[in-house]
Formats: sequence, structure tokens, C-alpha cells
Amino acid sequence: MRSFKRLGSGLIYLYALAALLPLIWMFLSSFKSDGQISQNPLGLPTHFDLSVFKQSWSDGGLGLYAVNSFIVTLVTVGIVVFTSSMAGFALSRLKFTGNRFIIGLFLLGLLLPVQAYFIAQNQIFDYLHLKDTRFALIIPYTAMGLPLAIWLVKTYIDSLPKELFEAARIDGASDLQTYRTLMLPIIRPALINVIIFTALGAWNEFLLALLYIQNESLKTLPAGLLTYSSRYETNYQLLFAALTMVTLPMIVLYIAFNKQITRGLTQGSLKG
Amino acid sequence: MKTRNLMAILSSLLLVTAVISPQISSASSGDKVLRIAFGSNGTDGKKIWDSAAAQFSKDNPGWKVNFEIQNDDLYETIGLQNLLTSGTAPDVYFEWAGQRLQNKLKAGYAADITSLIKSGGLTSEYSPKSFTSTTIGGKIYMVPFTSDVTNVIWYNKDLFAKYSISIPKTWADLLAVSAKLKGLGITPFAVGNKDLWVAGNWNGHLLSRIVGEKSYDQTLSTKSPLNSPAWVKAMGYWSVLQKNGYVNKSANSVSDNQGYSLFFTGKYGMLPIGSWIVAIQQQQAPKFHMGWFNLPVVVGGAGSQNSVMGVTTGYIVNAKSQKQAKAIEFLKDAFTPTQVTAWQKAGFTPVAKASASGKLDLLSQQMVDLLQSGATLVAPPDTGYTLKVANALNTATAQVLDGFKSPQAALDQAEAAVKAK
Amino acid sequence: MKPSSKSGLLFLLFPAVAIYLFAVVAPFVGTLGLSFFRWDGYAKPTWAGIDNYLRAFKDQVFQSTFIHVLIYILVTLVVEVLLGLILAGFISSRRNTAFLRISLFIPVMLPSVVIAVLWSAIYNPDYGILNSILADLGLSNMQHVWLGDPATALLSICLVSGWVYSGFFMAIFVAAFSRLPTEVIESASLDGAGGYQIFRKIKVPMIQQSTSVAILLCITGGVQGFDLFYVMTNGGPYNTTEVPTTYLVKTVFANGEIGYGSALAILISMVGLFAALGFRTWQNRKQEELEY
Repeated sequence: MRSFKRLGSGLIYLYALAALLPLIWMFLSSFKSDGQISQNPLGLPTHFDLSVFKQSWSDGGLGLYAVNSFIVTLVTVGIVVFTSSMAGFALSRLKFTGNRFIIGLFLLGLLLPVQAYFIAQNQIFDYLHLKDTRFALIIPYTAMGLPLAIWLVKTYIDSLPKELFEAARIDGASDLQTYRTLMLPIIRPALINVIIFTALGAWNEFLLALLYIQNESLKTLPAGLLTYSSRYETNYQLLFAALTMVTLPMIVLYIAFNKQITRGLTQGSLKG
Repeated sequence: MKTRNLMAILSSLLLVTAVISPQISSASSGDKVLRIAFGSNGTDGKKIWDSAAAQFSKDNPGWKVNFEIQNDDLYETIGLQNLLTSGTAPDVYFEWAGQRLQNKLKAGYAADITSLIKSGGLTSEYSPKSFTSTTIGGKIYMVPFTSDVTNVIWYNKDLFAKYSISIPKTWADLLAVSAKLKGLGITPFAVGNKDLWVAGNWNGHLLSRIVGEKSYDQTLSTKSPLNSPAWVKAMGYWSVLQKNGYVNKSANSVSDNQGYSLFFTGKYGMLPIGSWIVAIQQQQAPKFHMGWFNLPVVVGGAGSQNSVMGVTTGYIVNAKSQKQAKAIEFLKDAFTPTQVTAWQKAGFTPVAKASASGKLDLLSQQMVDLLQSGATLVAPPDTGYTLKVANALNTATAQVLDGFKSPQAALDQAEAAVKAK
Repeated sequence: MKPSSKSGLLFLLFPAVAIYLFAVVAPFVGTLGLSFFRWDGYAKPTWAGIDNYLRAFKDQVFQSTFIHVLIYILVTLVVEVLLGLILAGFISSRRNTAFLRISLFIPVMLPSVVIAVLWSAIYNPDYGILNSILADLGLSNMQHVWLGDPATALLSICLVSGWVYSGFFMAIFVAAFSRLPTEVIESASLDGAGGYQIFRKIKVPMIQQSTSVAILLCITGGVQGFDLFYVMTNGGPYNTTEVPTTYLVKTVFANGEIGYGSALAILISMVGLFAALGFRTWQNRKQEELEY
């Protein structure tokens, strides 16, 4: 039994190492010249020259893409947090006709792929001259993040004792006041989950980022990376350097906040 | 951190970013900005555009030129479409002559510039015959930029010399050369066909040689079926390449760029591609020696056996633009003889006249000579005809290249795709 | 409870509902409308009635996309959900698993473009490490043009998806396992049950709810799958890795057939919806059976 467990452990660690191999290869290859990469893919780099990162960064305009992604994600998260907490509160605690209908409408959004509506959305944005502006991404990202966010907030509020709210109502608070003073502080755990999910979705979104923004100076990271990768397709060293630079901060962020992130992600999908 | 503070920080950040983000732009017809749109031309090309813009601004105080440069693939498909229907539509934009120009004309985006170019002094920069491919129904709709040969066979000079391989004159000769290379352990052709047009153009040219230009044009214009017996037989020539393993197995999964890189490694004999490879080779593999030959004669073929596959590119003035005269003036600045020489140096094959000192490098000059040799011009499937048909045919080409489908099956599927309403 | 004031209710609901209606519901209705026309984006649209839908039913490539997506879902159910379950089983019964949990989860955080570009390089027939490793191990005859050979392309992409999401499902299940009451597990092991038996007969059935959520996520994620397919092969070679979403994007943007593309979009949504609802109903029915 013991040895079986040891064998199992060994296998798992081997698997984890194998799973990390692609990322390790990507990182090490940034230090190898193109010739080395193509002739000796598995070999270790001989020099560790950091200048390739600088070149890749400036050539590719990665900094600009990252800033754009950051702005779009930040604004999207901000709007989603506010609007979803308000709506989630109303849908959870307030009785009114159409309550179930609206909930159903948002739930549908969880199942609807973006491909179902981006065609008409593209036309609408064209007509309103929204293309090539940051709002062309912020608005859809917000709308796409709302179903999950509202569901997270709503199920969290659902699980709170109703006496809490009845007490506030007896004290004479209006719904808005209840929302501001009572709700917001309490639903912090749900809001953290909303922030994580929405940020992840907005940061990594690819299709709309590619379609709606053609202006180089406004492109977000996923679209910019695609342009970069097709331009430097055969310059592997620069390509890997760029990929590494984009990946490393995310990995560091994840390791630092790993407890909150995994807790949020797994809790979120377990409820209900 | 307290939720209240969290909210406060979030809302102030929101406010700040909302302020610093670019505002939604309003209609642009009244401003003094000339908008030009095209796919990437490289850094050298950009310098030339910038100098033209500087000249234009000098002659037109208060005016600015805005360049909207997009990723090539996106530009050709949705990029340009988005731009034209947006609020900041370009006044001038890049296009290919042929079907694409016709489409733009039909949709109302191509201005008749016949008189504008005369009054704007643009015609003096060109020879009179330059405008044939951009003239429709007697009116000129496009200012020519470059003439590109779309497909010839480039070969590794050193390799051919080493094994005493002479340039094949007929298709049978080409197969013999391929067999010899294969016997030496060298893959005859390097092809990067992920986007379907590299092999599509090559086979398109071959097909036109076999069935004749008229059949080629009729079939691709859907006046005649793709899977006619003549075409199936013609496709059989193509399948010989696959049966003998003359093309790299990875052809359908590697991109065009990767195909060029494979060729430059020196491990492949030939590369079927257009005239733009000259600039790429000068940049990527300056020590590489390459030569070229046009698609060899297909003995017994119905087409003109020295036909050339090529296309003219150019700039269309947006019919909906209010600044058409200014647009022509800018284009004049971009194609002065000095500029044209600069374009040549940057690896392009411009149609406009170069200055006396201007000289193309040997290979590019040969490309231009080939185009102007008076040989029959065959249009590539994807610029001369509708995308639907081009995609169908190119897909069939790719399928036969891999041996995935027989010529008959592949063309049957293509015809079905074209007929689908 | 009833709202304290109509205006208050409106204020709370309006922003979210308004944005959602504008950016999701209206475009969806718009796409539905567009599906009854023929339009190339430039000229005027022409009425097509249900022609687009009839064409979709005859479109063999479109039909094949659903087969590809089915394969994708089945493979990912095994490589993501099942593997995730097994990994979670190992991890939940051990200490000091931080390294494992973190390293297997990292790919989930990365943008799909990065993953697609990285793995395209790995699968590159001439320079990628996969073929190189095979050569080094003396297995040159197992080398393939992974993304170019119709026989291997689809599975190659599925495996990349597995690489990314097995860690995700593992994390879900680890959390679910951690919530199980320890007394049951302890008493079982005191009764002499081995680790594997405890895993199979006790732990897994007890997290049944999480497992069904995981399967649902896998199904909906599968139907909506796009990024990897688009960047790695764009449906190629010649439509053998085409999934509904990539075919849709191609139809609209490469072929310029907006009406037809809209019809495809509606059909794809219907399939996704029915798949999810169907699964849920089947789940609920199974649940009822268990409770009898």
C-alpha cells in the first residue's frame, strides 16, 4: 500500500513537471538564437542575454498593448462590480413582477456564446461609430460579465438570513440605503469573486478584441500578440521572449494571490 | 480593506480612465485630415508614406495625413470593411485590381477619378498603358501602385549548380528535376499553404495553362462547373506532385512565412511564390542565391504557355469622401519619380515611372519585365474572382496536395460549395 | 420583500439590464433578423426567407463541425474532468501539495493566444520539441505533422485544451473533496478500505453535484470553443478541425456572407442551449430516481 502511494506521488510529480515543460521550454528558448532553436530544440541556452527582452518589448509595442488591456479590464471590472451588486441585490431580495423573467434572461447569457450575437453587435457598433474606441470592448465585456457576476452576487445574498434585511426595512431604510450601508460591506467575498472572474474574462478575451479594434495604439494584449506572432512568426527567439514577458507577470500574480483566486473560482462554480 | 474604500477607489479609477480614454469620434467630413488605409508595408514603406505626408502638409497648411495600417490578413477580410462603414472611413485605401475593385465599385466605394488625375497632374507620373487594369467601362477607378507577379518558381541556385540541374522547360522536365532532387534526399518544393493561397495560386496558374485562359475565367466566374471532366483531368497533373511526395508534408499546416523560411534553410529545391519574395530574401537571407523561372510549358495545354500570373495593386479614392481632390494630390506626392525610386529600393515593383537614377535590383527588374513582356495575364483566384469560388478551388487544391481527396472528389466538393445558395 | 420605492428599484436594476439589453439581447435579436437576409456587408441586403437555414441543413462542412465539437467534448471530458478528478483524488489525500496545485493551475490564467502560439511552436513539424523529443527517444517513426495531418490535428488541439483545463477541474474537485465530512472517510479507512476504494466508492459519489457542474461546464465550453481552434489551425487543414464557431467566423468575415453566418449563429446557440438544458433535465431526472 505504502509503495503504491509512493508510486502515485511520483507519477503525479512527474506529470506536473511534464505539464510545466512547455512553459519552461518557452522561457529558455528566449535565450537561444533562432539557429539554436531550430537545430537543437531541446538544448539548454548557452548565453543568458537579457537584451532580447528589451528588443521584443519595444519592437512589438507590448507595453502599449498591456496598458490597453489594463485600462479596458479595469473599467469593465469597475462597472460590473457596481451594476451586478445592485441588480443582484434587487433580484434576490425584492419581489416584483418580472423578477423571474429578468433572472432567466441573465441566466441565458451564461449559455449564449459570443458568436450568437457578435454579428449584429458588429453592425450596431459600426453604425454608432464605436469601433476603434475602448468602449467597443468595455461595453461587450461588461455585458458578457454580468450574467455570471449577478449570479454570484445573487446566490450569495440568497444565502444570507432574511431577517437582516427585514430589520433594516423596519428601521426605515430605503432599498438604496440598504444597498449602500448594509449590503456592500457584507457581500465582499462575492464581490472578490466577481472581480476575479470578470478580470480574467476581460483580460483574456480574444475574438472581439481582434474584430473591433484595428487601431494599433488601442489594441489589447491578445489581439496585439496575434499581430506580433504573425509578424515575427519565424523569428522564434523574439516570439518566445514576448510570450515569456506576457506570461511571467501573470504567473507571479497568480502565485501571490493563489489562495484567493482558487478559492473564488472553485466556490463560485460549486454553489447551486 | 473595507468595502467602502474599495468602492471609492474603484469609482475614482473609473472616472480617471473614462476621462483619459479617447472619446467616441464624431463624423469626420469637415476636418482637415486625410485618411489613408492599407495593410502593412514594412518600415521602409512607412518612411516613404511619411515623406509624402510631410510634403502634402507643407503644400496644404493645416492639413494632416492619418495612416490606418492594419494586419494584412485582417485588412483583406474584415478590416477594410469595418473601416469603410465606420465613422472615420478612409479617403484613400489599398486594393487589388480585378474582382475586388469591381466589388468596391458596385458597393459605391470607388470614385471615378478619370478627370481628377488629369487635373491633379498624376497622369504625368505614369505611362498611358498603366491604367488599363484599373479602368472599368472606360472610366478610371484606381491609381496603380505595384504590379506583382503572383507566382513563379524560385529555385536554390547553389543547389541546382551543385547537382548540375538545368532549368526545366516543360512540366515533364520539372517532374524530372523533382525526381532527381528527391533521389538526392532533398524535398523538391517548400510550400506554406496554411492560408490556402500559396498552393492555390500555383495550381491555379497550372490549371489555366492546361484548360486554357477562357475556360479558367469562365469556370471561376461560375459560368461553367468546377468538376467538368476537363478540369478533373487537369487536376490530375497537380496530384502527381503528391503521389511522388515532391512537396513538404507540412505544407497545409505551415504559414506562408514559414514556407519561405524553410526554403531559405537551403534544404529545399524550389519555392513557388510571387515577386515579393525578393524583398523578403534581401532582409531575411541576404546571402541566399536564388533564381526563378516561370511555370514551365505544359505540352498540349490549351492555354498560352508563356502566360504570367499577376495582379495590379493600387489605391482607390473613396466615392463617399469629400476630399477626393486632396486625395489625388497626396497620391501624386507619393509617386513622384524620386519616391518611386525609393519604393523600388524598398523592394516594391511600382507601376509609376522612376527617376533616371532609379534602378531595380536584378530580380525585381526581371519580374517587372516579365509582367510587361506582353504575355497573357492570368488573375489569381482570390483577387480576380469571388472569394467563395476562390476558397472552394483553393480548398480542393489543398486536399489533393495532401492526397486527402482525389481530384474528382475534391472538385465535386468545391462545385457543391460554390453552388450552395 | 416588496421594493421600498419604484424609483429605487429602477435605479438598482437599470444599469445592468440596460447594458445587457444593448450589448447582448438586442444584438441577438438583430442576428436572428439578419439570418433571414442575404447580405455581403456593402450592398443592400436581400430577403432570403428560410433559405439560409435550409442551406445550413445541407451544408456538409457545417454538419461536420458538430461532429468535431462532439469529439472535442468527449475527449475533454476524459482529459479534463476525469483526469481532474483523479488528480484531485491524489492531491486531497496528501499534504504539502501547494507546488502541484499551483503548477497545474497556471495554464488556466494564461491568455488563449499565448497558449495557442506556444503549442503551435511545440507541434511544429520541423522545429517543435514534440517531434524532437520523439526523435531523441528513437521514435522518429511516430513523428507527425501534428496540426497538418487530418488524422492528428483535432486530437492535438483537444490535448492542448486538456493541458490547460485539467488543472481547473482538479481545483474544483479538490475544493469539493475538502468540504466532505471527514468522519465518513475516517470510519471507512478504519473499516479497512484502501485509498482507491475510498476514492471510488465514497468520495466521488459524494461530490456528485460538483461533478455534474463540471460536466456541464465542459459541454458548454466545448460548444463555444473558439480561440485555440482559430489560432492554431483556423479549422484546417481543409475543414478537418473546423468547429461551429470558427466556421461561423469564416463565413462572415472571410466569405462575406453575413446572412448565412447569422443563421449559423442562431443554430449554434440553439444546439448549445439544448445540450445544456438537456443535460440539466437528465441530471434532475437521475436525481429524482436516486431519491426514491
